[in-house]
Amino acid sequence: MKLFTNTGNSASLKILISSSFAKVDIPIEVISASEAGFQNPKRLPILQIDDVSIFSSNAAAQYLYSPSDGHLSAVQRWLDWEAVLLQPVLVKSSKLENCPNVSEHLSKLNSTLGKQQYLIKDVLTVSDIVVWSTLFPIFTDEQLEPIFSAKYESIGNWFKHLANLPEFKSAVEKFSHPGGIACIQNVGAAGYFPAVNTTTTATPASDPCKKAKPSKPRKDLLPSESSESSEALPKEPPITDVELQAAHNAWKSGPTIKPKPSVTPVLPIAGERNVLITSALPYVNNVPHLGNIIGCVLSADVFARYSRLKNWNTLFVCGTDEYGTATETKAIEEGLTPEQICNKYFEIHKEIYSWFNISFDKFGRTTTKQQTEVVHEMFRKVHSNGFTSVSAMEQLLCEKCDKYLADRFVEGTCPKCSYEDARGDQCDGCGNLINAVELIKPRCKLCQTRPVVRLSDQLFLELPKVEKRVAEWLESASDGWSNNAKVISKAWLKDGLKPRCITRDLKWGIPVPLPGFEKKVFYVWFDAPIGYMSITKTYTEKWRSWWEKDKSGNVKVTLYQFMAKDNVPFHSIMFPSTLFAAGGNFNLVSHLMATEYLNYEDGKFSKSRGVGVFGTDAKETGIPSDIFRFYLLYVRPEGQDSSFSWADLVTKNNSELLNNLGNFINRALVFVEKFFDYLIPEMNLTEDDYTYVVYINRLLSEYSAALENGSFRFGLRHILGISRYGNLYFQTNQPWALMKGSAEDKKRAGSVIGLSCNIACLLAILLKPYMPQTCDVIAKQLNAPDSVFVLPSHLALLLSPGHKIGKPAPLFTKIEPSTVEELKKRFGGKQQPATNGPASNNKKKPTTATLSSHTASIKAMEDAVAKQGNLVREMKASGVPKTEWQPQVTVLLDMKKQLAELQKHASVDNVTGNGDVEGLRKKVAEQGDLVRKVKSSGVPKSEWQPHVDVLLSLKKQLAEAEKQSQSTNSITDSSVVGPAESVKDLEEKITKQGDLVRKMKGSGASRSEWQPQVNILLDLKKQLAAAQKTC
Amino acid sequence: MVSVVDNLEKYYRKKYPSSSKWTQEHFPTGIGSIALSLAAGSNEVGCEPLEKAQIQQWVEYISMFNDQLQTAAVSQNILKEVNNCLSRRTYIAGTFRKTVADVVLFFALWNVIASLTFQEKEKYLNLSRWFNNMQRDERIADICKQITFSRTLLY
Repeated sequence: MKLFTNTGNSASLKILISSSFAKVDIPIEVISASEAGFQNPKRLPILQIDDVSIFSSNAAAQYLYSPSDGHLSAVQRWLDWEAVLLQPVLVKSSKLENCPNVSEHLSKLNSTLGKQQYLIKDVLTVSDIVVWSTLFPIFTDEQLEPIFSAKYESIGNWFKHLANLPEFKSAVEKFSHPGGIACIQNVGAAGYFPAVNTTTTATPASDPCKKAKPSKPRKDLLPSESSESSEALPKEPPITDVELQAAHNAWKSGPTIKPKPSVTPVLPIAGERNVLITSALPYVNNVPHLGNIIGCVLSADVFARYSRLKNWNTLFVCGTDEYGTATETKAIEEGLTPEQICNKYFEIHKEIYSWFNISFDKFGRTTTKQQTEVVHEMFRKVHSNGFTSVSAMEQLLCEKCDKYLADRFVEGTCPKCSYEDARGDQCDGCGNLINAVELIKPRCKLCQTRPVVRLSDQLFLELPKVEKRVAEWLESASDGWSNNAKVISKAWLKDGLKPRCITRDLKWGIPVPLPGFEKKVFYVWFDAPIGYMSITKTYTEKWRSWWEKDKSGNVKVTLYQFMAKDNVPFHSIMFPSTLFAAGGNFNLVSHLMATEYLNYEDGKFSKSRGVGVFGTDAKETGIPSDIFRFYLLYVRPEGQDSSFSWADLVTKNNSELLNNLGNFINRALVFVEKFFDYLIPEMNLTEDDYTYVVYINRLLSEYSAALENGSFRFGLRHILGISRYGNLYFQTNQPWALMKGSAEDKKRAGSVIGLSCNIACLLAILLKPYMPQTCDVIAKQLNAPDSVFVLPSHLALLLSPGHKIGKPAPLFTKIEPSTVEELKKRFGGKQQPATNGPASNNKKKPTTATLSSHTASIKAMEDAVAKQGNLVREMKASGVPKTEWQPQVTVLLDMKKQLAELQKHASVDNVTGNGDVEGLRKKVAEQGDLVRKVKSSGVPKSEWQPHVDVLLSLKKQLAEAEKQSQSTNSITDSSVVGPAESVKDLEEKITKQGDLVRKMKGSGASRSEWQPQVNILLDLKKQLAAAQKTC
Repeated sequence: MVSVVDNLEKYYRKKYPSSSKWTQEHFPTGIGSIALSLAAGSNEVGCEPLEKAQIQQWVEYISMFNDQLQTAAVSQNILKEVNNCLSRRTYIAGTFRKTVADVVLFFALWNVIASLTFQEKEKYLNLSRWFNNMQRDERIADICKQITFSRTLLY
């Protein structure tokens, strides 16, 4: 055991005193506080026991001088109090004699010690040692000691009493430091202590959020705020005169700007702010889930609506991405053509987005003639500027289908584990990634024939040639990007850019306009981003004014692109590279806003397992789309992944929307209806009212800032913050009580109600980007004119006295918590049927099937195996953990075994069938006799014909049976009897041929004559060798 | 905010005796003694004296800072220290099984960890590993929502 400490650290006294009570002598090594790096965390003193370091002096003291079980709990409280409160207060406070924190603690200690001899009644425990050591610097300090001893008499007596005990005396001797206030500095230098709250000290389980001291509206009065929502409320700094003046001015001047009339098509205008917004093009082959929706279209929609609210010239485009292998696969899966698949899913996407009220100016698609035109134009520029190269790639070609096979269209034997059904990209047997051309016995998934390896020329985009320009641009342009977008893009550049293949040997795509590439199409990732341009082109013929830089430089367009993080490299590196290669005269993305992923109840969304809420399901829940929008934006995965939880959605709806926002707006409006006959009353705002207005103005400007930066979560919290202030204002002023009072009181109530209605109107404006339908409902209830729907910088008089409002009604409905379970169950996946379905079906089949129906059951089994195989592949591809798909693989392997068993039986069946050849011959003979007999008896043809028919069919059966038995026989011929005989045969032939060759050579014939005979001989010898081997 | 004490009470399925003489005298403490008191009697407080000391020091450690974890500077320092410490151990007190030190540290840090970005979680790799392991504990999973950690390093 050894004690490491810095000089004069009074905490080491705790250990020294305890050790002298325990009668252990501990050597001390004095080191400096900066040397305390050999252990973690860095603290002194340390008690080292064998290889264990105890860095807490309290724990060490307690280890050396353990309390009895009866006192344990009380000791632990004292030690905790000392560590959490007393010691930090002493370390962090200056002028201890005047410090309120110090006196607060010491007064309590003093009164306790006034009643009893030691901290715990009359027993000296380690807690006395610990607290004594901590107070040692004060009570040994020349200046402080008299003050403290006078002020805290009981502590002083207790301190002196203990100091005179032999154990304390010897320890202080060993400590060899005169003591005094310097000791506290030594403690502070060798540890890390929490800051001390200047208000009251924390009580156990206290809420740390409460300690901030609000100036006017007291924060602890705020109705039911959760910790999360409180982050929207800034710790209010005092109100400045400037803010107050601004609030006055804005209120009096009323709304200054009117919304711009909407025009179609929207075109950029010189001197105005022109905002072009795109949302990542959703891929057409699937139904989007809530994660997809919040990741791109919904986020982009909020921004587009915000942008329009700011009176900016806004164009918002999106569409489905339709070309590529995935569409082809889906088409084969559903038995449709790719065109039909695209049409079908395009409608599904469109319907979902319109239900979510996504305000596209144009929702297009990539399979349009405009897309082909723009892609060709871009490619020609890139090509003629010399940014392409050609290079051959090995690919599998199915000659029967006349088609190069994408990885997912090939199957074969795994080169690594010999698993027979390995896919072109990955083996289900061993899990290794495979290169499709390496497969042993590859086969086309569609026609099962063997594809051939062909070298196929592909076009590459020479990214290294534009790398420098991209890097320079990224450096200057990425300031306004979301953090993950910056990080991911930089990571890509760090690895260096390589040429990227932009063509594919597919049919479903945009043809490459270059001789020699007629049968190829562009890779989807080359054409998809260009889709933004072509969709703009389908919207307006003047699409270039949005996408190309204005030559005069007067028209500026700011491009905002929204997507999930997996799409970042294509938008930050690939697409800009294409644009640079095409001449660079384009508007590049200035704000790339990427989200992280949204999980579903802490798992993943999975279409194949039916887990999660998909666009089409949302509608069927009966919950309005605005509530989905609200919740998705409330948990928008910004900065980190987040999850969609039904319980949370219900809570947020009931607490934030219903109790906070809905409650405030409804109360304000109902008061106008009831007491003021639907007319907004006269308002005379007091200074107190203006204080609220200032607070609201602050949140308003934070709301703007948040939306500008794409922090939609925060924007939403600021709205709820404003409504919370509204509720507080209402609650504090109690207009319902004022209405019962004097005329003056009633006038005051009018002011309160009037201001509340104006706040409600402001809320409606702020909600417009988030909850468009709710915004319309509030506007209707307020009868608010369209002209107010511009985002103001300050709260202004939006609804003047005398304005007639509409009929108020509750805005939100409560969702019963009981529905949570139901919804969870409904969207929690179809695990049961999916897992057991095919397996149980197939277990039954072999047992119930009779021998004669074997072929049928083999067929069924094969189908089942194929199905199960697909399930396994889908699960693996969806990225679920191994534990989930492993059981399915086991089922698959089991089924395969059963299939093999069945096939064996079937072949045995056939063999026994061959035994019937004899029986059939007999039957044919008998039937032949019968026919002859009938014919000779002279009956008409109509009578003997049926007998002939029977005979013919029997003969057919016989012929069939004979063929089969022959084939089995022939196998036995060659393989069993054959070799022994043929070896003999061959040996004879070789001898004969050898003689012939020798004779010919000896006769002096020319080489050209005997060579063929030699060849025959060699061939025979080879055959012999082979035959001998099989023997 | 659900307090750490509430979670500790749920976890140990016991109520902290609030009517005790201590609280009457208004002697506040940190969460450390509450945790130790709730865990008392189980092997989570340690069996050997040295083991007890190792556990106690970590309980005290988090007790000191629990009230200030919402301050970024404090929580970052704590995360750093804990992360370093976990680089060579499975559980915080250096034991081979979960102890009250892990439990109280977990509940105290939950809010902090929940607010971390993926990038930050990657920075505190050992801490993330420990935390993810802790949240799989059945009794903890019943109390706290799972926080997602990415298994593939992104940044």
